[in-house]
Amino acid sequence: MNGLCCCTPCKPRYRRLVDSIYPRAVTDGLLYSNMQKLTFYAISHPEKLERIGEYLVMRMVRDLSRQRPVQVKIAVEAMDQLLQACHSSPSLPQFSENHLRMVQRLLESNNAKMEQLATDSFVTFSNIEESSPSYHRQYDFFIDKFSQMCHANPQAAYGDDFRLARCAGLRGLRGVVWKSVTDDLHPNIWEQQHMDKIVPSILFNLQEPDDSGKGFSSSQIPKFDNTFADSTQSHRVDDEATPKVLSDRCLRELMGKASFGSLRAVIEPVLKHMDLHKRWTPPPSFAIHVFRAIIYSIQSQNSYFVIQELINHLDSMCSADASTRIGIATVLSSIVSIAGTSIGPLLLSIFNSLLKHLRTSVDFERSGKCSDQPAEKMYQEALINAMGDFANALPDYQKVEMMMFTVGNIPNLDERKSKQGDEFLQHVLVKTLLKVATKYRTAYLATVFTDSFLDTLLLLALVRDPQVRLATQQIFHTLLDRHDNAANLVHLGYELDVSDVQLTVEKCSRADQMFMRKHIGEITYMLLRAVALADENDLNKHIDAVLCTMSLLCIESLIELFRLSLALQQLALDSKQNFSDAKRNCIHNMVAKYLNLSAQLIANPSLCQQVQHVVSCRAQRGIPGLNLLLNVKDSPNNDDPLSSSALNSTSQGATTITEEDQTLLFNAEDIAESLKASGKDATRLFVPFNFNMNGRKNDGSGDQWQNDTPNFDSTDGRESPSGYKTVGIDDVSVDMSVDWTPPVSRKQSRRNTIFSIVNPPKLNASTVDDLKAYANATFDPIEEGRKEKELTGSILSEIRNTDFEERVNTNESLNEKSDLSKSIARLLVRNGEMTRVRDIGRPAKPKNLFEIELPSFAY
Amino acid sequence: MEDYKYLFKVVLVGNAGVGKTCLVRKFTQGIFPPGQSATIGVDFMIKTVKVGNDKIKLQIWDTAGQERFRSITQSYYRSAHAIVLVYDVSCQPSFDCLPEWLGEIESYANRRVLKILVGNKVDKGDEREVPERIGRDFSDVNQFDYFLETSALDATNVDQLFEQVATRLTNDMKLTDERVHQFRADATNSSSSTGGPIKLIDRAQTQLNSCCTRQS
Ligand SMILES: Nc1nc2c(ncn2[C@@H]2O[C@H](COP(=O)(O)OP(=O)(O)O)[C@@H](O)[C@H]2O)c(=O)[nH]1
Ligand SMILES: [Mg+2]
Repeated sequence: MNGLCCCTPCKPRYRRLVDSIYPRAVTDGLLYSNMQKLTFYAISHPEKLERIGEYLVMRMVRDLSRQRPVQVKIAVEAMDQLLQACHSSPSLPQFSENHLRMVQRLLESNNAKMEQLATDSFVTFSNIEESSPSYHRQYDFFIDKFSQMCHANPQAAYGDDFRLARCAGLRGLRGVVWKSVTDDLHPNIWEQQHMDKIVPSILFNLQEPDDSGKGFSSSQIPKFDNTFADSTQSHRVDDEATPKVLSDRCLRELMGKASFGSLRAVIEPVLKHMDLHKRWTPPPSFAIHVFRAIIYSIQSQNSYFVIQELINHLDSMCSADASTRIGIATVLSSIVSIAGTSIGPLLLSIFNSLLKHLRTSVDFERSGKCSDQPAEKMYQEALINAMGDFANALPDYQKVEMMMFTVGNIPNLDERKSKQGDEFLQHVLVKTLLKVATKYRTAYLATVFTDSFLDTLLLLALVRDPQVRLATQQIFHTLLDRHDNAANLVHLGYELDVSDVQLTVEKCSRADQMFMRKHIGEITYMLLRAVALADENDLNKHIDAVLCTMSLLCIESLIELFRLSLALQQLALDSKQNFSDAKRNCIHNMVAKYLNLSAQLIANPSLCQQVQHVVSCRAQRGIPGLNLLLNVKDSPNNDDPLSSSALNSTSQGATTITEEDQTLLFNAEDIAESLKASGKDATRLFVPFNFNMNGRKNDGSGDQWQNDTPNFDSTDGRESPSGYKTVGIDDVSVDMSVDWTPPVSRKQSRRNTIFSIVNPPKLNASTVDDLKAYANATFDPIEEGRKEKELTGSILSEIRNTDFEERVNTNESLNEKSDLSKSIARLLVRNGEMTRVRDIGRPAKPKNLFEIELPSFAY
Repeated sequence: MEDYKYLFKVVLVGNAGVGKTCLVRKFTQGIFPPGQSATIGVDFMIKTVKVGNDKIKLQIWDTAGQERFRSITQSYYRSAHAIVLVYDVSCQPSFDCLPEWLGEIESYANRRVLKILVGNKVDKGDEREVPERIGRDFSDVNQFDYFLETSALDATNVDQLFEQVATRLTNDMKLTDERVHQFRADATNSSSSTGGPIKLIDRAQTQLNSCCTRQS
């Protein structure tokens, strides 16, 4: 209270100058000319600046207590002008302290107008860059007070001005943040204690419902997602008229300024806020908005941290309401795609956590302790979606990783050993796999279908749960389909003209041919059994799914499937199978549809004719459910009134085809004939499938796909790269038929010339008679098996005993047409494939992403 | 140049509707607000009181009792010099929640914070559900520094409550101040030549100042 008696003439000059800025009349404003004099004095006498500040604040405090707002305003204005004018003055630090004291006094006044004034002045201050650091300055009170203003209550002190107060609070908080981050000595703004006030204050305003309605909508908030908005400091007052808009901006600014080290302190209050305000409850639009804003604002390399925090939060919420967990999972799935590629090394750990949550949820649902099963299911769905979105955001090779990983988590596929809950988990994980698979775009089959992955899929296609079997077929669809044909093939009908289906067919690559050569046996075997297992209750779906897989295989690679078709036909005829007639017919139809499709695709007129003939014979016989032409428009048979009458007269109660109805069946020999006529080697068509419903493994008789596919070199546990097989059409691809020239020797029908064997194949059916003779010969499975083994042995010994160069040379001399350099290139690709197959095909213990050698084409 | 000796932060907590806001209003503005709506987040009031010859400034942070504001309210516990836990004597549930509040205080407030228990609305007479004895016992068992029954409606014990807070805090602070002075004097006497210890004490003093906002 010193110096209040200031009317003495000996008053110092600075005081007189300060006094002169106040007008005589209490209602008038600042006297600008005198203010200029004061400013000039302050600049030219920096040592007096602190005194000027002290004196002005003292007058301000006095006016405040006497409730003279105009005078108060003058003091504040003067202080602000001096602050700006003297920003490089050596006594600025001391002056700033006075300035802050003034602001604090105003904020303590319990007067909304004064608080506004204080906030504006504080914002002015926060824009000034101080040259010397302020060691002892504390912003605690300002943070406390501005946070309180952010919660201004319309029904209490603030009345209708509560929005103004809240905006002021937000601007004040933003000022504190600006001030602290520009001042290196002030990292403490990021301390938990401050963030615990700042963050909820911002979020509270962001979540406030609009006047119009309840619930959160981001419609009123200007969008700045994507466009990396440089909102820093470039604030325009008119944009920030409402607390909601302003708080959105504050949030982004805060997040943008947070370093990695301070992220935890910022994210944790966000999570806590969502919990307390029940903002996870679906639809969690507010939480999504906030987290998207966060991901867009923070440095992208820190995105994974936010995701990890969300997952940790999910961990801590594992016993909470399903709705909360659904909400968190939904938020996760809506931000992972933005965080996307920046996740990098933590990919698998994040994915693993999600899978773990899925397992936990499955266990919980099965435990019987779960009160709300539908909600739990929704939660699982949300998690699966999150994983799908997650996969979507990643580069393809990481998707493969994720699929391997998922497969590795699928519990015991051996049905005898499986536990109760396993089947359900299987179900959920296959769904997850399907989700991830749909996001993957296959480039090379071998990249995605590694040995163990394919093996697992093949097992999954045949498990007890029909839903899993169906989903597995769908996984095959999405992974095989590289030309978006699947949509046209899911319910493939009998197409008179296949070009109507609008398929995209492209020449298949070498790598794929090699892959198919190696695996087609397993795949077709699986398809055969999948049809046998097809669920009678949902026949069409299951049969169509298999048909779709077949069609895609045909388009994408091959026609070994002819053999499968014949086997399927045989299956449908087999009286030992406990099938309904409907199922038998369904299979017959499927075979017809498939043969029709592939015959047209390989543009084989005689085959097309055969198919059409059989189909129209069936239509005329009128067995219910076997007339494929019924649904075909423009069919000549439909115009024929006889066909419908024939239906009644001749069917005579027959409900399916028997072995005797030769005209109604596709004849293997005729098909072989047609194929051969177009230059394809059809010998293998007559190698029957060994069909054993009781187990997957066969015992060396009949079909030898297990033995003749990967030749296993037991000495070093590695697969020999030959993949040589008995003569067949398995590797004849539709695509290849485009540039097909009718071969005269078997050499040209082989793809892997470099490893071709000097031994002649078992059968070289060059004439129909040869073929017939072979087909009619009694089939001795044991003998066949023996032969196969012999052949395998000879291949192995050839490979083991002859060195590489020699083999190349031998082969070269055998086949003049083959180009050595090409062969070597192919070999390298193949070896690359092998390495990779060995390396990633270990779903049980997935490797670190970086240890995996990826072939160049995987990128 | 400041016109007060000490500044203290007082935080009021307790279930919604027990009368925290009314107590603060009654004390700071002398009114019992009619048709008061629930507090949002936190509210802030300031009042200067006299303890002996010293002017003491009380920063009063009135918190919302609702669960959803728990995170913002908890953040104010930390820097509080005193926490006033309020229940409604005519509302047993508000008393039953005290252990929960106590837990919050334990986890978020300074360990040496001044804890005061207040049973409000004693004017309600017949409607009382929590006898004074029970409240006092609770405060003893749980080591509250002070227990008091008040009424914001008829002003019973309202001024006394805040006077007690101010007095106790001032006395504590004076004690600490004396100790620091003593310590500093000792330090200066014993080792005036070496700079080390003095620096340490300066630091202690700075910390003290920053935490108590002592101004003179
Ligand atoms: N009878 C009576 N009613 C009170 C008293 N204090 C507060 N109330 C009433 O209790 C209700 C809640 O008061 P309020 O201060 O908003 O409670 P807060 O939520 O703890 O801040 C209001 O309707 C007040 O009128 C009191 O001392 N006596
Ligand atoms: Mg209240």
